Amino acid sequence: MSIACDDDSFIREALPAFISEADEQLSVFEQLLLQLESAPGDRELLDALFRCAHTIKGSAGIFGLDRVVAFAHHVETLLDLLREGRVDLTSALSTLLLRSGDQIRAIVSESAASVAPTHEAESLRLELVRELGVAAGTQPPVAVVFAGAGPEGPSSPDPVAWHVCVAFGTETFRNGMDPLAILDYVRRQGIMASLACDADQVPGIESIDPESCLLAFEFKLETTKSLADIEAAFAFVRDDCVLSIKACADPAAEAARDGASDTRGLEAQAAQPPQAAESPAAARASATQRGPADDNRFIRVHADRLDDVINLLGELVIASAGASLLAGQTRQRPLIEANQHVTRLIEEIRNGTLQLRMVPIGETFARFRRVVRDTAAELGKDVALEIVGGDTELDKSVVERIADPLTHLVRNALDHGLESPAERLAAGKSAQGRLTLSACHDGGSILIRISDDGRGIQRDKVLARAWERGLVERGVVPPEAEILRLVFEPGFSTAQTVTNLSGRGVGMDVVRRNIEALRGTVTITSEPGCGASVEIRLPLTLAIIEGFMVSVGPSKFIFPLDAVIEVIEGAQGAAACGGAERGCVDAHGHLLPVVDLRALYALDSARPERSSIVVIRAGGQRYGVVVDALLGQHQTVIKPLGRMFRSLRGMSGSAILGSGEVALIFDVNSLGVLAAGSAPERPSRPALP
Amino acid sequence: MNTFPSLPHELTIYTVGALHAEWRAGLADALDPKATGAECRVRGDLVAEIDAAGVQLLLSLRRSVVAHGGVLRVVDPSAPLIGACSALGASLLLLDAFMTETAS
Repeated sequence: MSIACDDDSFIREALPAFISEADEQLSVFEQLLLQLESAPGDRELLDALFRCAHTIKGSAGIFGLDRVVAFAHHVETLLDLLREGRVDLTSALSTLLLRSGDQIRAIVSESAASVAPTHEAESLRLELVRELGVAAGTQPPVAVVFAGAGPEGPSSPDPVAWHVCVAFGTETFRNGMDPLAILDYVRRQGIMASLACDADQVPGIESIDPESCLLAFEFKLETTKSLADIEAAFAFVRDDCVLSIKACADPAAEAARDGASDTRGLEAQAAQPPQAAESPAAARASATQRGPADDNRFIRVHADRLDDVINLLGELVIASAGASLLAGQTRQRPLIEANQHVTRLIEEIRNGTLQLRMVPIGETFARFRRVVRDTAAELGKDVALEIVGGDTELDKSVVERIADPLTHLVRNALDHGLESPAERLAAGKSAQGRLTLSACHDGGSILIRISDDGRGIQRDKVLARAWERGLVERGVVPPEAEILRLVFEPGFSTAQTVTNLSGRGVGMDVVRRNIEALRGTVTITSEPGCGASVEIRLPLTLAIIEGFMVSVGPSKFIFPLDAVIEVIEGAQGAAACGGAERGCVDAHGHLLPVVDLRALYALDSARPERSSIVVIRAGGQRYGVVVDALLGQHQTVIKPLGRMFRSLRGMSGSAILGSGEVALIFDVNSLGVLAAGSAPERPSRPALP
Repeated sequence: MNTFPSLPHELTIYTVGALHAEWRAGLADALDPKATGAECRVRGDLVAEIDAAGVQLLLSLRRSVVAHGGVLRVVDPSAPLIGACSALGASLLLLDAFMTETAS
């Protein structure tokens, strides 16, 4: 950072990080508010809530986002009163604060995009400011202070003098921070006096590390801003500096002694710091004794960079498989062993790298607290949300893409599934409905359930609508599961009235499509009067799986290894099917449905004398798959199927083998549907080499 | 009197590494160990970009010069250089320059 380029380039470079962090802080703000509704007096939650608003305001101030600062100030004032117990957190107040959080998010977006607010947005903002003022018991403000309209931020009637000591950490420069820019910002918050640069720690040119910051400063600041505002100026170096801010005992006397606006260093060097304040050198020493606070250190990595690494890793896995194949052909033991070692290491790197992308689904679930709260209030319903298994992890890309389908399913449950308190009481239930979001790992995939204790799906209405729309031939009554599946058909809705939440019949089919695009499945169960449950099964990751490879003739196929529970070698599987696509075999005294791949996909190769059966567990059912040969475990980098193969049932992707051959990866759930014989159409034949 | 190379156009975190190596090598030549109290002059009129890392490097140079019994005089400091030193409370770096100008 330099004087010549001012703060502009710094702000330009760091603004995206601020926006991202503000978004996270606002999500936390929302969650804390929702938690506080259950525990209104929880001091820790109130403190955390205040810190959240304060951090957003402070960071926005550094970036000169004055409108954010001005609005957040009103929120902060109210939160301060809540902390002090002078205002109680009522449901209405909670709603006001939630709306205020939304407003801050909107202002941040506008500021980031340099978009002027619309008249409606301005009106809403002013109304919120008025409501915040009323809630805080202050006079409603006449107007919010906007950028350029006058002094920003809070103001107290009388300026207060502060004595500030700051010792910047050694990493300050390397972290892209410049004390010069920070002090410039602080200077704009009031009148800075007696600035002294403590260069005692700066060694001679012979031994200095020029990129390590060894500077410390002391100064007086006379300002109308609060202590928190001054602290906020150091927000970006807060983890790597020692900061001490103390009120001067007699501001008037201090100011008179030091001279109000003098920032010349020579006088400053001579000025003695007050006894109460810790000197920068002492502060630095105490920081050194404390040691680095590195228990919870995180680095922020752009998702694209991680994706690039994962893509390269995929290529590495393929190349490694090729090398293993070649090493095996040489029959040279040292080479084979060395290759096995490399393969093991690659496997460890693969697991470690994929772990980097895993995030707990709880963060996504937590968003629904607000959705449930607001939607239930809008519908006049009383609903408690229960979250189970929020720490279940899955790939970030899956998490991002599942949020919208989940939102729709939750809103649907609230709108159609759960009854009003009066209806529930009349049905002999408690007035408060229950909606449960749960997640768990199950057989190499993640299982997400959205269940409610509402009225359940009215089977008769679904069937009547299906007859009416011609989805089912009039008079025909399909099995229960198929009737329920009809709600995922395009344009299907049994809602009597179309609300702005649901009932238009668009959405459930989109939900299904979105989930299937993630190689997932969605099923629905319902018990009339007791509730409904939607079950979403998703793969843990979209990138790489541990596979089990089989062959049918020259064609190679891969099952996700987690789904394989048993292999029966040399079985008479083909005989069980009798050349047909499906059949049954006796497995440990139980009938096991089997599907013959050669028949199912009409593969031309000659059938061997003996075949094997791979037993798969998927979606709560077991079935067997008849194959020619078992080729063993295989690390599989999933490549999406080309457009030509998208309609191929039972397949989820393809993989390139070390030999350069292509193998198709099974979607064990949809293959299970084919094995059970409920598939409406015959799968097309895979065009394999 | 010894003359140090002029301060460069840019004296920031991006240049202090290279400058440091250059100054460390040039320090022995700039300071005559036999002449206690020698003045080391460095021109500052070219400085257009400067940050706290640049000011810190100047403070470090001054410490070395003083340790050798010398005086560092920043001659003809540019406005950005004066501004940065002032804003960081490090105006003592420039005091000698002003004193020199006044004396001359």
